[in-house]
Amino acid sequence: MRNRFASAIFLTVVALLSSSALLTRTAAQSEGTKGKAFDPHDLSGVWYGYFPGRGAVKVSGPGTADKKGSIRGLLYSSPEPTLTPWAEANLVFHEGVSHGPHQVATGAYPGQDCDPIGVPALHSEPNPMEFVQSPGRIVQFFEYHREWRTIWMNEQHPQDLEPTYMGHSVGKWDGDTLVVDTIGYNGKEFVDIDSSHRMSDAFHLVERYKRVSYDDMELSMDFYDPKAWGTEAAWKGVRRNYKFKPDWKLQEYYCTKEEWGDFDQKILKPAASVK
Amino acid sequence: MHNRSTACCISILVGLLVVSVPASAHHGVAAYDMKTTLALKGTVTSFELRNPHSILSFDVKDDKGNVQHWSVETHNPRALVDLGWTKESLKAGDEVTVYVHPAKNGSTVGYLVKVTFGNGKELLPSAPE
Repeated sequence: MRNRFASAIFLTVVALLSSSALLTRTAAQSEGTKGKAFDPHDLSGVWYGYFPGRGAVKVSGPGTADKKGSIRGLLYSSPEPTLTPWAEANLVFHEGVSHGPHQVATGAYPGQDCDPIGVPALHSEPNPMEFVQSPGRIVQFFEYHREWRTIWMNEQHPQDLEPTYMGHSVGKWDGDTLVVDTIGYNGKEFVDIDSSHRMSDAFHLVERYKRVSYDDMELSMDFYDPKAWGTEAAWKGVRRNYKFKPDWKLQEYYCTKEEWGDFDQKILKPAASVK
Repeated sequence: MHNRSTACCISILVGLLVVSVPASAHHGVAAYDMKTTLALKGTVTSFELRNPHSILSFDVKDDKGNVQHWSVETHNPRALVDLGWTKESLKAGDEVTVYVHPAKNGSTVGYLVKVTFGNGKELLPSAPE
């Protein structure tokens, strides 16, 4: 009896140690997080998408600023491909643009009138998001606008997708990188916050999330849009960095027309008016 | 109003503030001259810590006594509170110097860089590098 009890304890300890070893594969730790184990396949929790310059994450190298002073240069390591004539005619908001092509569209912007922002533009927001992992799916909640989507793991896109704001996302693990593939957009959303044009309904997004330390997750995105940039061109290597915030709880952040209307009157319209 | 040279700008700092250019959600920052920073000495009229973006409003008086009313945007409460800001960080009547990336079109609106008080205290909408 005592032997069976001891064996049970021994097996339990071995099982715990084995599972622990599997779950806490340590990777190269960034400075300040040394010694903190993490499971690179566990992205659960709240992550804060810092912008370069907010102190937590710096991005250097090509494209840290562009000649127009746009923040775009801080976010993108490669320039946007040239728009096709069709895209210039159909996706660009020419009306109200007072600062040249491909600068902010003063008469239209992501989330205008509280329309959905969607992914990838939500990654441009300095706001937190939360991953909730469950069997067969990962749900991603964005605090901003209270938008969310489901990433269906190890599935294929359906053949008869109904176009939506968020599109249809499928995910898989490629080593320690979560690769999320999204199609099925309705083409009503901006590509990013600093863009003057929408994506087309052929937009195709590939996101790669990699937890590189207990505290840090890197996101690299490739944008494909044959209607916008042609079949040969793609906008690759669009980067964001997220910081793990285990103590944070997502807060309520609805977009309301009242709040936005007031902001429009006080800031946006004066800034966009033609003098 | 439209001639910024009459404003009580104590200095104009021209430079590419690459490392301190946070994003403005939704609408981008292209309406602002992010390469120019105005230092505006004025009196706070209101501070709204709110979504979608907080707004600091203040009056700037020039040498002739003319008053310009400015409103500048900064981050939403989530981002500012994380940096220690509160609704009481700026109160009506506070004498401050507001550093602003101004609108390109000359309107008296802009994008907040920082606020300094007479006692040397600073309020930053972004964490220092």
